[in-house]
Amino acid sequence: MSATEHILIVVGVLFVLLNIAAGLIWVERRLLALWQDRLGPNRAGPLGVLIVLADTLKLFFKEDWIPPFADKWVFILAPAIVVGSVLLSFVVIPFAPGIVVADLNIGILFFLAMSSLGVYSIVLGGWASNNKYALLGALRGASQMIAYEVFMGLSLMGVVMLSGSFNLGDIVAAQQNLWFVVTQPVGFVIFFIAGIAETHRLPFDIPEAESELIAGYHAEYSGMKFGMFFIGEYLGITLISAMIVTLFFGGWLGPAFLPPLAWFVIKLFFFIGLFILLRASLPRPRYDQLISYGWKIILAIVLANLLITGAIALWLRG
Amino acid sequence: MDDADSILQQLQQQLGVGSLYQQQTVDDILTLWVSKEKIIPAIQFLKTAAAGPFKMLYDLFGIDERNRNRYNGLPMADFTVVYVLFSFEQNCFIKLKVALRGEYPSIASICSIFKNANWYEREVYDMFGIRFDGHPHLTRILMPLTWEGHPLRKEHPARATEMGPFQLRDEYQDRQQEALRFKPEDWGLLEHGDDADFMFLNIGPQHPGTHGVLRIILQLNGEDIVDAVPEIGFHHRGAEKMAERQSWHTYIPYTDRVDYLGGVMNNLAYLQSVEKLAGIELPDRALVIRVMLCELFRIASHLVWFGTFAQDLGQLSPVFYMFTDREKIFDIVEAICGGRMHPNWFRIGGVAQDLPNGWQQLVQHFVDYFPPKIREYEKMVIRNSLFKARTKGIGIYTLEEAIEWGVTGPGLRACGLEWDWRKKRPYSGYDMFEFDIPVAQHGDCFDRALVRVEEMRQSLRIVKQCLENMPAGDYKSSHPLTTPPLKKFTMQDIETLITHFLNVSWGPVIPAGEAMSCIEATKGANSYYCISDGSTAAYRVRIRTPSFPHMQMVPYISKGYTVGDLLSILGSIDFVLADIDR
Amino acid sequence: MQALTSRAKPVDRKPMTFLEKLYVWSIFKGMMITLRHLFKKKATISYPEEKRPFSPVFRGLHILNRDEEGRERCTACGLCALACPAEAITMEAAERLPGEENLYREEKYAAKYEINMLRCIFCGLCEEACPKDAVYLSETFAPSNYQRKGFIYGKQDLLIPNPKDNPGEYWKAVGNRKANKEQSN
Repeated sequence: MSATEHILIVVGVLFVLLNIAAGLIWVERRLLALWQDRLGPNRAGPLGVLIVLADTLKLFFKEDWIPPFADKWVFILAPAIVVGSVLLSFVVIPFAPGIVVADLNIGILFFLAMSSLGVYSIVLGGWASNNKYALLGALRGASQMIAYEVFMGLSLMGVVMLSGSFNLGDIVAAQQNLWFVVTQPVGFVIFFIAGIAETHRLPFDIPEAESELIAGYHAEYSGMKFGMFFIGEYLGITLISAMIVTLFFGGWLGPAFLPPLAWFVIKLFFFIGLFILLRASLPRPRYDQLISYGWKIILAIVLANLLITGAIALWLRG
Repeated sequence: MDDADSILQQLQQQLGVGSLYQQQTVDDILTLWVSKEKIIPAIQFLKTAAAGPFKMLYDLFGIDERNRNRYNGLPMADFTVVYVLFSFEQNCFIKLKVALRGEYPSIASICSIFKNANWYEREVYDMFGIRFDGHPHLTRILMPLTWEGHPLRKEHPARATEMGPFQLRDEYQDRQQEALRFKPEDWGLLEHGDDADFMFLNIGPQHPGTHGVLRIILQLNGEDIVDAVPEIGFHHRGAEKMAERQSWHTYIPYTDRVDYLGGVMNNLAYLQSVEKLAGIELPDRALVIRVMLCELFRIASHLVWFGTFAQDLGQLSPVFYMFTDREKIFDIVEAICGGRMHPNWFRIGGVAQDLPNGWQQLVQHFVDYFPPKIREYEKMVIRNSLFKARTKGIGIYTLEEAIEWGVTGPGLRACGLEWDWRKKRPYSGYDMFEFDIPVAQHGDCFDRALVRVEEMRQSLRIVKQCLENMPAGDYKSSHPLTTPPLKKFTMQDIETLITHFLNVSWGPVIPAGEAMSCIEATKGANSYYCISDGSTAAYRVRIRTPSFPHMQMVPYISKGYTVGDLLSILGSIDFVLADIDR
Repeated sequence: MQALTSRAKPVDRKPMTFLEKLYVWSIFKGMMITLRHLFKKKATISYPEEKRPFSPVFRGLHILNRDEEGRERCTACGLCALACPAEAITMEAAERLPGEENLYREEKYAAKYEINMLRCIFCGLCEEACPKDAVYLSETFAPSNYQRKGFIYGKQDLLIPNPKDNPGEYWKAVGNRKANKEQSN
């Protein structure tokens, strides 16, 4: 691959991702509305698509307020971390054969490492705001993300065992005959649950919990700094959906009448839609319930899953 | 009235004959004047010793008697404090009145006997300046701490225009801000525990989970609630003071706004007591129309509760579905009343207009439409195990605690007491209808939710019966005090024209006396205690709302739970801030 | 009086099953209910272009009525102002001069008639009080203005168009309320 091609891929991926994340503003609002018996934003532009532009402009022109009681530099740093760490995770995702920024042979580990960094933005943002609600949100976020990171990692190990590789491209290739969702259904469900918790979306939006903590860790943020958290959340959804597609649903694989990239995008948007549907339909569990659900139920299931997968894999190899 | 006689005898034996004076009222409730010194033993006796004890302090309020011109042999008083107790065993109210003399009198506090007397006594102090000796924390409750004067005293102006122009100067603003600062030591709250510093978290007055301008200060250990201090009064508009300047007739629109989700239910509570004073009997059609509207509003109010409760727990969609259905109810209400949330539709002696043509189709359509909807919502919210996890075993109180704190309505029925004022003390013809009282046993958030959902079904049953059996006849009484009179009695000749003029300008003159109503409003027992001086306006109207005692109980039932649970508790209580503050 | 039924109805409360404790199944069921709403008819309307119908008795902004010959009905008796709980109505009366019979129906008329829409609570007691059917609440609502004084509606804002000069506007202002009434009479 030539250097120009490489740069083109990097720029292209970045451009498309940021656009998808911004576009999700519109997708989410429209879909939520349709599920709630209303129409959603439909005034600006065809079908209301330009709400994305309007929202972004609004965010840019809002006063960029740093509270006098906040820890200024940490306050500024926090939203950058979330966007940075999520964007870095995309580096390892193979969107189609040949379209991958860095084909690391420890792709999964890189993804896990990057998603662990995301927790810093919550903790630092909540701490630097010097606000009680933000602090509570940050504490909740920290314990939630640390717990669910463990299950996320463990739930992927089944896939790694079956494919015998940490490289995401190899994992997709290993699903040529059978998607891993069939052989690893439990792993999929747990990865999905952990993914919601990692992106702290409803029903697991406990660090922000609008009706309890108002906005939680980003209560003091405004303008584009808030916008970064906002975009970071949508990028997070996209990332988790992309990982689900890659790990369990055969990535770019699909019947030949559509190009591989199209298959990837279709699958990706299906899971993004699922995230939004979850947000529309479920109440949020209490903070301690979520944590104890993780350590008491999910941990047991995921370990059992690992054990059984390992045993079967050994048995198959004879 | 045998019960009342025996209570009177028992009390006389207990306190001595000279210390009691019985007042005749038109509402058939035993009303006794007790001397100031004997009030504690009297209440103590009624709560514990009497056969069929009066376990609930239903209401406590004051009256400024200084402008009163008719005494009819009643004890002379500058101020009166009225205690209304209720006995579930006997299904019987009792009113105790204490005459106080002097500009700023004082009386012994009964906080040690009834827990919920605390806020009531603070309210009386706030409104009248009457001091309660032995009260643990006698400060203003509804008015700002910096307020001058006591609003319900007769010399206090009723309008802002009587008080001179308002200017917000810097030092005034600073003083107000300072008064809003929460000082834990004022409330006897510690800043440090044995091994931890407590955090004081200010929830509200602007907060998405408080359903209005309510401030709750939480003392937190981590996320666990150690104690809570609700601060109310941000929605206080002086509804009771307004009653003293409006005519009996023009006060009706103001009652709409007390529990603004209950709509006509407020009109009904007010008019029940006015009609008792006036001695008006209503024709059947008026009664059934009233019942139908009340039950429609009960469903509408419960739908708002259901949707917002789900939203408090993080479920985003139900509130949209439920508000859509509520809109369908409002379409009926609008077609009948002309208004939506504030229908202002009941009148002294009936309702404003007859039902419009085609009302049957509207109501029939809703009766057919709604039952599958309730089933869907039940599946979506109540049967969801995440919802169960958030509500089961949260915010529990027992039946004894509920009665002690003055809980009424669905909150009481969720503790296993089958008590519905519509059944137990039928008013407005509710005894003509067939419906069940939903009860649950555990008294937690989940049971309160179950009871309300079932209540919507029962209300729909009543609406259906109204639809099928609407009697013919007049929609207003032909009693002379009916306001405005039936059209056939007005504007025929000069005599009836004058009647009309007097009725709508000065308003009707309601005979002197006092009466209390008690209805099962959407949130619990709602009472209007009207005192007439034989004038065109009320001398004093006391509004007993259900949300006030319910809110008072919040610190007690939220201790030991987490911040997230507080939202479940607040949601399950179903309060309206305007109903708390009036 | 004995009520017809007084049985209590215990609500259904079962303990959580193991399946429920796993949450996954109930999460799925919840999602199905919401998903079904995707295909339902939407409850909202596109407001400024499309307006919901009001009932004939809806209480919106006031209208000062004229009789069939286009004369003002109001006789400035002041009953509406007295009946108003919010004290939103002020008026000044004047005597009809000879030659003004085609303008005013009665010998006395309102020279000034103002309603402060910011004070008004739209309770409809003025309409109920009026002995001449001169004031009624229409189906128009949601006025907006940049200044407070824009909410004080004078006679020129309140008076209905003259049915003689401008019957189209008159019937539009009457709305379906009066039209219904007159049809039924």
